[in-house]
Amino acid sequence: MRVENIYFALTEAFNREAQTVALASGQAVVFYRIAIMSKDGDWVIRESPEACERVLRELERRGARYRIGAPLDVRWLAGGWSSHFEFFDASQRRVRCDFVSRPPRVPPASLVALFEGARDRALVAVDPESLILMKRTQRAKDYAVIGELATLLSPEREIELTTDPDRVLALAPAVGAASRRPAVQAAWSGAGRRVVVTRLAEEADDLQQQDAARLAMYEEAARSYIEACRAGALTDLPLRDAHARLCEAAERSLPTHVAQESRRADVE
Amino acid sequence: MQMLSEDDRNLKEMTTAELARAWDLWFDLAQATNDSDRPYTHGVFAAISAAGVEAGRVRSRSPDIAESKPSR
Repeated sequence: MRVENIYFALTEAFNREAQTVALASGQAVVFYRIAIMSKDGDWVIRESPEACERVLRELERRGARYRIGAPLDVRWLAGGWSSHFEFFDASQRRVRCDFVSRPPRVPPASLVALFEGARDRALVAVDPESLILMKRTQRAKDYAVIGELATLLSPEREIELTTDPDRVLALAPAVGAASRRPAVQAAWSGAGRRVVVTRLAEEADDLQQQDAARLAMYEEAARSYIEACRAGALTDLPLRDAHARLCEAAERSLPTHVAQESRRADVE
Repeated sequence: MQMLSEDDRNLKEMTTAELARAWDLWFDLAQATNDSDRPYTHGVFAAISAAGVEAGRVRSRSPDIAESKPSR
């Protein structure tokens, strides 16, 4: 029996009829052969009712259930909400599937290019630069991965995004002159390695704090909705029933957009 | 400062099948920590604690397997 990565197989299944999803986060790191990691599958889903239906259909076929999260519906996906599912494979291994259509910090134009560029490929992953932006999370461990992903970029882009001080120092003489990034400016000006390290650490901490604040807003906005999901044990229901009930609960108590994210989307 | 050793970096030299087998083995072993995993690693619910979603714990199983607790 052919051994496969279940999340790669799911990606191909979701994309069988049309371009529907792109691998993101940890499984994209595996796709780019950076590391063996990620027990969960994360995808950027095309923001359309048809894409949602294709994903729901495949998940239903595999016996998946919802985990508490937004319904897989463009009304909430468009507001940056995430949808979460889980099932167990034939070997009783836990398979978790998470979806967003508007990953944080990624310009909408990049998402358009992602799906337009995918053409007929079934196994598609978010491009490295968008992946790096997604990984600027509140989790410290994501920043080491960013450093590895940045090596996939051109020198001009790597120096703007890497978290590796040695790479900043190595690239600065050739491509650091015009950068406004504090760590690069420090390297370019000859301020020394310690200053470069400090500027990178400050940048990472700022990004972590920003993401934590963003998530706190969503958590607050979802409070009533989560309680309704728990009270109704909605995630115990079969997928389609759960989807309908989650939509009803979300219509009552989950705002489609969170204020800060709406403003950010308008700016972009 | 490298996150990965040279052995780790050998992933690029693996065939597609080798990579799949390596990841599948890792996934198999990683099941051991399921009970202690955070409820969410990504998405906007990542800040919610395990207690906050306890009532929503999924009890789905593979359609081909009878209702039973996983051996892991």
